[in-house]
Amino acid sequence: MTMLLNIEEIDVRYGRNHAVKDVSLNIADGEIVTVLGANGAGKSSLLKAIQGTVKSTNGSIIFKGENINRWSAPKRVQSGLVMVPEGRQIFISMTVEENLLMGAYSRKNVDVTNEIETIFERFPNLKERRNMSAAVLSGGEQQMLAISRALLARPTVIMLDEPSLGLSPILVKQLFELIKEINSEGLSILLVEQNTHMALQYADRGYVLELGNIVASGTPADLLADEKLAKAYLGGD
Amino acid sequence: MVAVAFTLTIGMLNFLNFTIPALFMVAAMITWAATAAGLHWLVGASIGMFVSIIASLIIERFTYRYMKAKYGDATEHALPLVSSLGFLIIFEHVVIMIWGTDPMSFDSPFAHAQFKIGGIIFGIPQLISLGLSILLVFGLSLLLKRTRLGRALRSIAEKPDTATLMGVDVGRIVPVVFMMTGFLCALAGILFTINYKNVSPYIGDHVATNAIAGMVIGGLGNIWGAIAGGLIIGMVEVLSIHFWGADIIKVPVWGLMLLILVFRPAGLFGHTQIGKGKF
Repeated sequence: MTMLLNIEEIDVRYGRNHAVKDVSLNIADGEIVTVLGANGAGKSSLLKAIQGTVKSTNGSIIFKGENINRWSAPKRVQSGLVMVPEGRQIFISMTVEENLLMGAYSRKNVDVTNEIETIFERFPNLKERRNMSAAVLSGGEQQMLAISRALLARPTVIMLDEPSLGLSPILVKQLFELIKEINSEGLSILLVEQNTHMALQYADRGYVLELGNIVASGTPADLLADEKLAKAYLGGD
Repeated sequence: MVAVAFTLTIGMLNFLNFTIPALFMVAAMITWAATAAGLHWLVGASIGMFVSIIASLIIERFTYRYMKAKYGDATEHALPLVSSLGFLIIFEHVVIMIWGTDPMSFDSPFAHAQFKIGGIIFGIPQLISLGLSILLVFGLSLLLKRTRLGRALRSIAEKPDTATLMGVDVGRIVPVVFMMTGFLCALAGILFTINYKNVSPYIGDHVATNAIAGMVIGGLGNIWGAIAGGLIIGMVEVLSIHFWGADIIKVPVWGLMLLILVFRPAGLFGHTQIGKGKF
């Protein structure tokens, strides 16, 4: 199987803090891969290193066969590697529609009117508020907007950092259905989650990160079968 | 217009750029010097404009970008502010070394262009300046609202990290703000020269303090507020000269600013959060 995204032995350091240690991870075309772990395990740092907003010191990041280690974050976005940051990070000084236009920023001189209309068909709530400040949206709507915004960049891999954070159980369910849906449209997904239960239900494969190290990886069934892991990370529920 | 330049860097980059008055002064002095040397005043003004924009880009390289590269986020530190203050003083003294400290008179091409309404004399250049300022701010707000570049600028103003995730190359957009700053300052300096027919290396200081007061009164980061604040300052100055004489002029201006800060910390037209204002 050829890998779409291949991360080999990367390190992330913030001064003396060694946040990501020698991590290798890969995603095949069309896969949903999840990275699990407790707070401070280095999950977000790993995503940021892949996106290029923090520097990885060692190793290599191969995307579509190219070593993108030295690429800037905007260049990585342009090539199809797009992240939805933790906390959604909607631009509240802009309207809903302007937020979507920002998503398409990396595609120069492309008319995205039709694509925006398609998104509005999918999320009528966003359509109703298209010319309102994005600050009026609820948490769930903001997450939909954040994901739609990322989709407008036409990604091949979309990375989601704790998308279910702060959402009600019903919305979490809807969110994961949406993730499944965009996955079935051909996108590969790298999902960082604290909601291990849901993440393993939807993912094809998972990695467990502990203090910057990958301590386990495999299919959801493998991970759930490991008693020690199940106890430590995957909860009793 | 200087207030608009201030408010632009504050609103966009969260950076009180003290080189703004220096750019203003340099453009004014160059306009004067070139004209005095026998060039057409428009040629002089163009040179002044050019130098100011280039200088602003150099300043970006050595204040904002340097600090950002070194410490991650320039806006969290007072360093760019202090280094821009350094630039202000250096510029002032370079100009003093070249042309001395004496005020120079400028033969305005529009010296006698004025008219009277009800006993008040209006200079044509003054009206043109006002009209031009309003036009510029109108254009600027349209640019920020409607264009791709404008959205990129606003995204950087609000969440620079997220802007990067959208593919905005912050390192390439920030110089645009500095170029606009240079342009606005130079235009203001040139208009000042034409209006007051008098330049000196110290004009920047006076204008800067008024512009900062105007910006605060109008609301930080709000470009329309900056224009309104500038006009209010101008009016307060004229009225206080009329009623109390010229010596006291700073007192009502800064008194008004302090009052507004007490009662409306966000300014008259402002927004409470810097950089998240309406454009």
